[in-house]
Amino acid sequence: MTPLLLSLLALADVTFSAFRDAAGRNPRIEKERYYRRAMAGGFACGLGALGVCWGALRGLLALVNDPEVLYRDMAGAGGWMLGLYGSYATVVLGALGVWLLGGSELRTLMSVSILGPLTLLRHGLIPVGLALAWWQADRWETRGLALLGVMLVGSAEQAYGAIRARRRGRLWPGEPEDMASP
Amino acid sequence: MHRGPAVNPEGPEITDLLIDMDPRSLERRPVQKGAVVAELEAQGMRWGAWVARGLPERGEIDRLFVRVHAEMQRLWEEFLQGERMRALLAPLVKALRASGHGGRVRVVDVGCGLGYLVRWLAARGELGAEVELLGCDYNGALIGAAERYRREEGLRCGFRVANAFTLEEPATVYISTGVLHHFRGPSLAELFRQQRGAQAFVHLDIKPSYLAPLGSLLFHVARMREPISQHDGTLSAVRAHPGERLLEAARGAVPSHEVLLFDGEVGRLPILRTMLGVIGLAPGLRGPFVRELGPLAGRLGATQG
Repeated sequence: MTPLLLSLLALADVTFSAFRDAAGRNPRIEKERYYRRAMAGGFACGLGALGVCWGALRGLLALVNDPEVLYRDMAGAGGWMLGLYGSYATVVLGALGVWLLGGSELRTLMSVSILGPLTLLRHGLIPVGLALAWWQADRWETRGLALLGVMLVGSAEQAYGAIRARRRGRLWPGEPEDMASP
Repeated sequence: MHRGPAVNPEGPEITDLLIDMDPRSLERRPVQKGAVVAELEAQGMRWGAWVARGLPERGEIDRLFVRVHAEMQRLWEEFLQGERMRALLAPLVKALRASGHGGRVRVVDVGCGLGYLVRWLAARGELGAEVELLGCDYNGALIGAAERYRREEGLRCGFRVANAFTLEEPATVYISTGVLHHFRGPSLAELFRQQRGAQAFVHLDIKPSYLAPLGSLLFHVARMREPISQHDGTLSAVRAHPGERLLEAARGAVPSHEVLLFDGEVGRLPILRTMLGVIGLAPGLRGPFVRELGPLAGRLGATQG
């Protein structure tokens, strides 16, 4: 269960990273389609990253003599990551839900007190989760897998930035030319 | 790296220094980056000077402005500025009708930038066909982009590189968002004075409070990419005029109008209402406006600051 839930969290995070990357780059009024396409792109990137992680997990379990022991070690370390990242995601998704359904004052409250600050906190939280997993793990394979997963998820925005730089500043379909960086 | 986020509440925002226009001819005068850095340093604004040193050279500034305003629009979308303006403007239009104003109502957005407010109102404002929406700004690059987006989305509004107060056909209502704090000292009163001929004005700006500077810093760092956006956005909250100052300036400059604050009270939890509105009404408009505003009228105040 732990790998599955961590995968879902990772997928959500990479998808929202794409939303953040797309936000503020399209000044049109109607841009639901633009955001949907960006998030679909993020989702696809997330699936790719998960594919790499699951491939590494299966490979490691196939290579060792004691796969059950290794899996238990991974599940234990992953449980700590899940506790931290899951708590963060619960707060963010809860605030997002209130923002989507609430009136203007509630929306402002959610944005100012939760959504904005937690966006900043995310950058610090990712390595903390990794540190917890490393501290909890007994095996180097577990630590390596945690590092791989965190690097793939945590670097999603940088990856979008790198692709953007190669595409003359535009990444998501529908971005106006004015938004291209020099 | 700059040494500490030194800001000067009375100092300029960097974007204020980057564009220098002749207010009559609207001719753009050249601006030297070195002079901008020196000005910011002279005002003790180390953060601003550090940001200004990293600015692109001439030729890229217009593109930077468009990107900065697009980031700002993202923030305005999150903080529902379009909805907030509509909540005041729609009752105002009805009040104008009720008080005998026939024909077209011309709403002019002062310093409209990329014209988000005007385009949003055109797309979703439901103000009626008799309301003309026009955005004015001195910056031709921003107006060019606003006009392009308007065309792409087929919106019924217009944009002009113009002084909003010297249009051949004057405004019925002047509006703005996030503009007032750019006007300091006597120029704030002058801004209001130029609106004497209008039936009404509705200006929204950041509400100063003990939490506003910190909240603004956090938010602009979290949401904006351009260092200049982060700097100027944060400084905006520091520079925001208290409601009392806005009231005093508007009442002194436009004595014929009744001037009210909307959401002027700071309250114990200022993060619930982060913007305040200054509303000016020609004689006879207050009654119908308050009636049309409905429950929102409870957020109007004559003297709060």
